[in-house]
Amino acid sequence: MHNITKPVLLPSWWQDLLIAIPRVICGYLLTVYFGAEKFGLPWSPPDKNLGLFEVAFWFPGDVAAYGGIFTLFPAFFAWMAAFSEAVGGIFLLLGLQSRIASLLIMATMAGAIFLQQINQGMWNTLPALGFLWVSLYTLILGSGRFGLDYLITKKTKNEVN
Amino acid sequence: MKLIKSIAILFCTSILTGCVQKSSNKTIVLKLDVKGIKNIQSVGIRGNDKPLSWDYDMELKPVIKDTLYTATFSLVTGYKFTEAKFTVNGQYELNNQENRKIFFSDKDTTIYQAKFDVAN
Repeated sequence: MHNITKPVLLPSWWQDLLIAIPRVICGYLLTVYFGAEKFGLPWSPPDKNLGLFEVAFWFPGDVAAYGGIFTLFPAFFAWMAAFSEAVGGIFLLLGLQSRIASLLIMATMAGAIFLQQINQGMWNTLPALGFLWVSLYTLILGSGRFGLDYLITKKTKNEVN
Repeated sequence: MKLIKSIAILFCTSILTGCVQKSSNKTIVLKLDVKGIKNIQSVGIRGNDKPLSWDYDMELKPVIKDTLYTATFSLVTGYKFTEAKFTVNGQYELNNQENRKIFFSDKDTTIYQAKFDVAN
């Protein structure tokens, strides 16, 4: 677990700061806008009438339309996708378990791109592609210096020593 | 220990993934007062949730020509309301104003009465 959490540090702190910017922005957008629209969080729009950790009523239907295994377990996949965006976004923003959050977000974005948005033209795939690219590098690097993962693994290392 | 953890994770996942927002079938009866508008060719409504759309009108039929128009439609929803605007001859009401919010009744059927271009 320590290895999954421990970030790869770049040579200079300003390089870590630079790559933290897209991570924080993407995490914020995912949890506040894209995720909160379809997954019940305290900051979900009241108009959506979502209970805490509830997935929007329309989402399983959309997921079922992808066919195959999605038709068999639409509520499961819809919940996981919405959770990945809404809660994964918070984790990405904070740099907490960045690699696990990145993996969830990557899977969700790949599904959104190839099963839904690519049929509506390449332009429509751009937001999901953006999130996919950012989560790809956070999957490899972790949170960098500017995330909770760094603080957690630094503390653990000190305790071991 | 690992087995217990796996079962607990599976249990929690299955409980949580069952959390889908409750939805129900709602029927909306629209009654639109268009008194005072001349040369009415068509009356419609556009809105957020299917079968409504912002791209095309759902037609309202005359109960009393040039005075009162009505339409009935159903939708499955988990929301408390839907947003819409009426049109006459393809022209929107409430220009530069917020959409109408049609709040759903707790019962199956909601009756929504409005006057064209007058916000409720």
